[in-house]
Amino acid sequence: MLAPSLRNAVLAAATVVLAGAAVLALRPSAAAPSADAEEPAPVRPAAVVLDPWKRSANPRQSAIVYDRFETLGVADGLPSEHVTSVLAEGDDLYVGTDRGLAVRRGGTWTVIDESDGLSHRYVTSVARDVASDTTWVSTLKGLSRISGGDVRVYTQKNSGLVNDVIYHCVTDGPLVWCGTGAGMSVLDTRSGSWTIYDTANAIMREPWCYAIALGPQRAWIGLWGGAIAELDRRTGRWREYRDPDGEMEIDLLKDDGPIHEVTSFVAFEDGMLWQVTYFGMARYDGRSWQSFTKADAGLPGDFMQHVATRGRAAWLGTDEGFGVMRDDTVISYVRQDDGTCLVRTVKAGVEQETRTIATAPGDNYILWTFPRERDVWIATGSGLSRGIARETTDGGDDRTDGN
Amino acid sequence: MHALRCAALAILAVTFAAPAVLLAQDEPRKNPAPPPQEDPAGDTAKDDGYGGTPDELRPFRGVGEPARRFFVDPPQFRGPGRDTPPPPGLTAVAIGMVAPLKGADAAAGRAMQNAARLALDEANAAGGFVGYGDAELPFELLVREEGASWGAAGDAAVELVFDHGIWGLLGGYEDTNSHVLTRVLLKVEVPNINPTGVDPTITEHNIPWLLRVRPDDRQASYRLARKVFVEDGRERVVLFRANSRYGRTGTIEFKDAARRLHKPVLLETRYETSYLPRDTAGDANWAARMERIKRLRPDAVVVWGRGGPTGTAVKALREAGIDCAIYGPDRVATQAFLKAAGDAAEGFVFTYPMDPRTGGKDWPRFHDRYRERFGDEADATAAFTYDATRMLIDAIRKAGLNRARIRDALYEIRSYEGVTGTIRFSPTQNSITPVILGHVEKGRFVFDG
Repeated sequence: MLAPSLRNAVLAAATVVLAGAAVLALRPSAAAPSADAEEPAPVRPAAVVLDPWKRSANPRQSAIVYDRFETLGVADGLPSEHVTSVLAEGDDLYVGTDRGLAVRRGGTWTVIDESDGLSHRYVTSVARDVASDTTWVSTLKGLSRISGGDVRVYTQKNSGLVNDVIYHCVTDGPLVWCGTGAGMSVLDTRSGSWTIYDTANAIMREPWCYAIALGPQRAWIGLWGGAIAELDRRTGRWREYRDPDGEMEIDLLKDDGPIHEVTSFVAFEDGMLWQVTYFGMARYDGRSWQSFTKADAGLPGDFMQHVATRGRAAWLGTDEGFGVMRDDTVISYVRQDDGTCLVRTVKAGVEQETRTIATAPGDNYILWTFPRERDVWIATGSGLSRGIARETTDGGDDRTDGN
Repeated sequence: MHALRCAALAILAVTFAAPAVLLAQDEPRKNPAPPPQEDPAGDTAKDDGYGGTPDELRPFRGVGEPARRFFVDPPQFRGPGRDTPPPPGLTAVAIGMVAPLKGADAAAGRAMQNAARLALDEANAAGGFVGYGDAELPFELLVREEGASWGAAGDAAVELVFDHGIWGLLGGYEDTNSHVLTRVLLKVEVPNINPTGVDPTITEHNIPWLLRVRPDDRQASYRLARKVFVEDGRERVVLFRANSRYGRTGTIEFKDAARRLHKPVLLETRYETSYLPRDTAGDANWAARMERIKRLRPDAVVVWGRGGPTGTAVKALREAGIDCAIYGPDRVATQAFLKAAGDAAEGFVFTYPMDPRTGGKDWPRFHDRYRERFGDEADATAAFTYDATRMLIDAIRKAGLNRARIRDALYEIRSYEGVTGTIRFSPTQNSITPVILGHVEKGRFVFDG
């Protein structure tokens, strides 16, 4: 029989231990954090509340009209014509293909594949941490980290990665977000700990995560069957954006929410969330949704696999060409059988202009775009293309994403 | 004039016949032609009522035309790849399968493997695949477990495609795995025929690489709703389903149908599948749950879940004194259900995705060969897998060793005469073949049509 004081001390100690264990158990983390982990990532309590929907007075500028295209293929150093993703930094390129990652640095191409330690040949996306010159590569069989000439592989067997099939990875300071076929895994590179979001601890009805978009204190996850899940990273609270009619075969009302429950990609910039699907696209400004299709807005196609944003414009990868949307204007670029490109401008659903230019992207099957100020890199089913904007000669180009 | 015409016809006949004779002499061997397929119901590519939905069950039919209708036209694959030649050094035409090899669905996985092997062996006996140079390549089946973990089906598909070069994939069985597969196969561009999945949403995404050959839970729900509410005139219906994704997604269309018929279910309550294979003792609230159902005085209970647990649930319903009619979908109608439910199974009414009394034209031959080889009775899972495998073989033989062209050949099929009967496809290349009803009588499944 313990003395009351001793018993109380034991109980108090047990309470502390159990409470600590409970806190740890409640953390959605797959691995115990190391001692120097600062806080539960990727949720970060912050005193300042940011409004993700606030629009910038000076958004990033971009050309949206391209007058010339050039295409790189196997003859130029790519391991395959089937290009799945692209990331550009100055003149350097990181190109995902179905046969490995091609890197162009200093004008020289290097191919990194399974023989170099890449987790799988099929690259789905590439992300960069410029400060540490680290490249993160998501593949159909794990995540690869390339740094200092070394390749390190993360799989569901050796890490907190929830599934080896990764559709998208994004870097966010020390965090690497990975959307997988079984949930979202987030690696904190400071501690090596992983956080997993799936049906058990997030608002997801299904755990099939296909894309991640990050904004001020928010993360949006594009879901297959559940449209979009939003994580408030300041509070840890979840919210979902669903198609309100609840039916897969119809969109009852045009602008009542996401266009469909099956999201193929999401992007966010300057207070606007963009959703693309295999049925068209939608966007949300924090107050209202608008949705668009080929038939009613002039999109190049409705089967869309990628959206990228820059400033107030969105670049759309479809299976019938690529397009750019800004405000209510869509410019579509569709390769013709003779190798020329049909450029069509539609504003508020009304055709404004159609013209043909001599060169076109390598293919109309577009898997990724990477827009920049004066050009756009385009991953196609037949090579890596680059759209180049008209050189300005009059001190300005009114066809840019100016505001 | 007549003589001149006859002479001209004779010249024409000789002109065309001669090259044909020459071709016949020099022509390389060809794959057996697939059986001609007709569409007895007309052009099913035009589906005005999505998924064969009866007009009275259409969503929002009272508020006019929706802003957009999806799945009106078949999905298309517009990417490159139709000119890609097959790789050198092939020794077989590999076909993949992901199926449940362990656990509660292992019997279904065995049936899938057996049926696919039977179809492949028959194809190989008939010459295998011809058209890869001078070689005659056998078809071979590579099977992987689909459900080792969340997303395992995707891992398996990646391995089958990249390490073994499969030309098509059969499966999965569990619908969560089928969803995971579909998105992977969009990336790697390999056709997938699903022979056994029941979740209506498996084909509701526009991905142009997937077909399903069996009618899904949408068709089962429509037939059950008609049986329960219209034919049997039930008014007070309780939905008692497994607390699982299958229980959740499978019942969506039934609940919608009940509501649209102005007879919404009185109560939806769930049973845990983790303990119900044995008994109800694991549920402290079981008695209260039964009492709650009883108080509602239902005239029908619709159950939805796997056979074994649902059999235990049905037995417990009867033991609690709930003696109304009980209905359910075909995944309930298994030997495990009969075993678990015992006498309580009597009178249970179920849907079934084919009519085993008649089947298709080759059903007796298939049934006999299956029993002879595997010592087991072929069920719908085996029969649909056999049809799916034969469709894939026919498509490969027709298109050659090119995945995009194999896909195209599969998407040309509007209806298929299989051992299961006539399979009709919607624009999403999903089976909209009507299901039949059956009931349990003296401990056996009796099919009513």
